Amino acid sequence: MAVYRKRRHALLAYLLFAPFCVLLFVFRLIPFVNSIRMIFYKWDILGTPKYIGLGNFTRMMSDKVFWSSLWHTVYFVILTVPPIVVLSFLIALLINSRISFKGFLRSAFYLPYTLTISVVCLTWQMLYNPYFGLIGRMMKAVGLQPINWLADPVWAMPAIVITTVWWTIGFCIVLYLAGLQQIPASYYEAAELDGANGFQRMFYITIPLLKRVHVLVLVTQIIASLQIFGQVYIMTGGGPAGRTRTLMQYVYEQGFRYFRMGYAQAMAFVLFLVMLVFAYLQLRLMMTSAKEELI
Amino acid sequence: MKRLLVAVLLLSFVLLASAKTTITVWTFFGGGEGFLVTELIKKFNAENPDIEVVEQIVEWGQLYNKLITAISAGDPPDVSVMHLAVLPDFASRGALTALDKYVSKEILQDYVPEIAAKAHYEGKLYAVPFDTHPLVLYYNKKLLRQAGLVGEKGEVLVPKTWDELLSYAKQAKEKLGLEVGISSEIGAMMGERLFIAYYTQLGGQIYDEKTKTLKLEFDKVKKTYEFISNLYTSGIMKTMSYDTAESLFQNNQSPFHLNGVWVMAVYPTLKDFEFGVTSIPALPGSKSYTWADSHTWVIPKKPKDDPAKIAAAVKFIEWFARNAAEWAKAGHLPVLKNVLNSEAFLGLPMRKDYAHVANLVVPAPSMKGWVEVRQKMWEIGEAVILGNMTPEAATKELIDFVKQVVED
Repeated sequence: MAVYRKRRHALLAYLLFAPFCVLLFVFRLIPFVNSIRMIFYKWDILGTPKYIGLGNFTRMMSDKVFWSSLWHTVYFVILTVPPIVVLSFLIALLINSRISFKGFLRSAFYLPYTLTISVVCLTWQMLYNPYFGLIGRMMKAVGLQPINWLADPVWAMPAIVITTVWWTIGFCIVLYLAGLQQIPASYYEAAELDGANGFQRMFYITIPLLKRVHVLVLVTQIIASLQIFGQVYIMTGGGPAGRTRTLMQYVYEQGFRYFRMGYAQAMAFVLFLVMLVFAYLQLRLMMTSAKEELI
Repeated sequence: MKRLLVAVLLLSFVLLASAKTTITVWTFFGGGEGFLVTELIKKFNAENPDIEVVEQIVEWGQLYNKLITAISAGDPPDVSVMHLAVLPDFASRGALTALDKYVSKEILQDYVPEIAAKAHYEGKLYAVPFDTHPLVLYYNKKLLRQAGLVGEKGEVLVPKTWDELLSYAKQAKEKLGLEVGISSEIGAMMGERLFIAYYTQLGGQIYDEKTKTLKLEFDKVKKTYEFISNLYTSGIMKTMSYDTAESLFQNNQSPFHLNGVWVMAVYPTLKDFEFGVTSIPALPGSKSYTWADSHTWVIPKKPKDDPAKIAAAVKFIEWFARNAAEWAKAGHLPVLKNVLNSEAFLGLPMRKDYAHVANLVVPAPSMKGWVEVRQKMWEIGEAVILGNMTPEAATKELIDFVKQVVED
């Protein structure tokens, strides 16, 4: 009887699970397998694909724009991830502390994350405008020459980075807050009784116990930043002179504008491999920290 | 029971026979242009009870992507809007229906010849254009008067040559303490549009009809880049986005402005804004040739042709082209000569000042891969303007790139 009931439960579970599996199979797995196949083809979307072996990859090797786009992507990650991790941690600490305007801080930093990408980009575009924008006017007011942020090859990428950090930091703050609230207050009490100062409490309790959150924030932000597309597409279109073109944008251009779907797939595959490395890294780090916690 | 069945069958036959032919049309127009298209489609539907045109608005930046995927999926709209410059990329891939046997012969004879030629690809007609939108020169009358740029009768001086434009712009900028003498967008407007205009005025031919390829003459390309570079090193122009360029001009902070005619949907409605519009200046010995693109209607290829739908679609797109005087309220120039010379069109504000530009247009070459070349031109133009590339290196880069695209 018990066995029968168990089996019935299992059956129900599979039944409930089935729609998800079917959808996953149809809309994720099949396209994924197809896209892997397509990296060996020359395909202009409208015609029949032509097998060219590793042709797309040899093309990539000698394509200057591919390399510069890859570099711009990495450059964006380097500029974006550290401030997001550090700032979101510090702001979460501030919100978690005993200050009085917590509620305000919490919503003020989370609010941008709820905005759509176009609203965020258009707002910052206005702020950056050297003639009419707030930043330019403030610089003029203190006697500085306004920077032409988005049209300047040096400043365009940092300007996109600032926008991105402002936009996405709220999400990481929430992760850190959740982590901070899981640390039992008794740890701090015990440490205080033992005479540990604030500095020691921070470095021996807070930071180590948040290890899983650090890994989570770091890796998810790296993976998200590697896929940067919208901000660049809206704010600079990859310019000036192609200086902010990222790999995702180049994939989009090659695939949908210049009819090189196979080539675009091959480049997307390279990006996929890079992200896979980071995802694997996250898994490993999370597993080890989970094990440590069990001990 | 049997009788009922027969009755139902008969009724459905009657309904089917009187049913309208429904055609779906993809457009990407918004704002003033969008209202005009929707109004025109309404008018067409009212005049043609047997056809129902259903407009589906697709976002401007997404239309071509969506069209490619819809065609490859075998389910495109019956009619779509398409820029003339993009046409070869689609026509060369067999994505469009050739229209020669459907379109009435007399409509083509009335077209501005350059535009009619570009509506063909490899000898076949693939599009029915319904406007031209060239690059023109705008000037701010108030600022020019303040800068003392007036003639004997008190009329503002309108530059006819590039030298005149540059010296007027410089004088106005310095006298009035303005940021720029000419405002314009840095990417497409400089790298492609002004480039094509100036290069053509130098006597350069961008497309070789005989060899059917893009042709760029080294010296003339270099001279064009030198000219564009000088606009910026001399301080008359500054790097800026499209919106900034427009804002500066509309807010009386820039005496001259290079832009397409599409802004004519808005500028005449602005308060306290005295402006004029004219063809771009000319080089000595040249006419004021200028870049232009066109909006056209195309019929995307379907797995199976439906003659009734194609007939209805052709009826609609011809009707639209003939009624382009209404559409011209958006600023564009009509492509049919009889519409271009009609009082309905010339009676619109300032149209007389730039209608003649329709005969000076240089459309994009009929070349597969032009969309890619064009993007490169914007980038090289920017690099030259920013001082990252010399005119000589830029010329080499562009010519090499074109060769690569042609061979690919």
